[in-house]
Amino acid sequence: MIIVLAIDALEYNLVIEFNCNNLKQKFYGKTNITEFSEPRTMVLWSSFMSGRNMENEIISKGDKEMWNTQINLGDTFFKSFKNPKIIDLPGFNYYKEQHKMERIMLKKYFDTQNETEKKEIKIEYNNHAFEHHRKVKREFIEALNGPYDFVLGYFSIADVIGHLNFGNRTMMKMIYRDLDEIASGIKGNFIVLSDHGMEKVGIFGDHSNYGFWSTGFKDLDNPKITDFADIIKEIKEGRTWKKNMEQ
Amino acid sequence: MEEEYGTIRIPKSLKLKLLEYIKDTDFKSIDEYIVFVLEEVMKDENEEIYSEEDEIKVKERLKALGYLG
Repeated sequence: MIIVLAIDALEYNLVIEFNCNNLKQKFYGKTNITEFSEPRTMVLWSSFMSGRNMENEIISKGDKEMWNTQINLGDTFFKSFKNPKIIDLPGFNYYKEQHKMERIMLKKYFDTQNETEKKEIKIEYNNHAFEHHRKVKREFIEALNGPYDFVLGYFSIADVIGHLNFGNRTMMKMIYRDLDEIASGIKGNFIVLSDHGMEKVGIFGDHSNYGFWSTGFKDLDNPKITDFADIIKEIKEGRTWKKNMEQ
Repeated sequence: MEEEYGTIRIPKSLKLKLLEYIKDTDFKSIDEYIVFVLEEVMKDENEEIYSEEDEIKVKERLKALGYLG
């Protein structure tokens, strides 16, 4: 079984600072996403699974329709597996209503000028995200014991909570500790991958222009997010991935 | 009004270490010491304060990233 722990907005510097050794594994580093004009979640995960830069296609859909992107299995590297299990991945099979509600609450938070209302929305927003996180965590742990040859679990908590709470170190530390605990429960080789990281803007968080990767078996240097389709296919076939330096 | 208290479980080995640690200090109990440490941690780690300027900046960024469309 090949396992990918896909974590939205997992920040390289916090993984180091909070000593998340299970997320770090033996080899770790930053991904190179400079080919993209902005670190957009839907663009990056779609490009990851298709193995090609999908920025223009996704952006041309517009801000609303972009979130409804659903790439067919045949257009992803998942097709090279007999029985893949993908959990909540943007651009493939994510829980649309859940993530739509997050964006609605985020908009409400920024639209209101009322401080009390802001506080209430933030509490509701955080609770909504934590509840979903627990659900995905259960599903992921269950899948690790299932009849699959590939498991990908997508965790959005660091991104969703980070946007309104990145300046709250206690809360972020708690989230990173939980993600590290999830990684500690994975047996065998796995890849940790984030689409982008996060940088602090006061109490808030904005996407940073690099992602995070780690493996226990190979130094990937400074890979592009689109390299992972080949990396994973080659791990499956027992070959060693070599970066094409001419790319 | 007097503060209400709850119970928190900690490993016995840690409790023994803390007892040793506070024996030459002014703390009367490990409960008092733990409350002190936790309050200090919360103080240091939540140092960021809200600013309208940050909010405007992040709102614009989230718009650009497609979150607020």
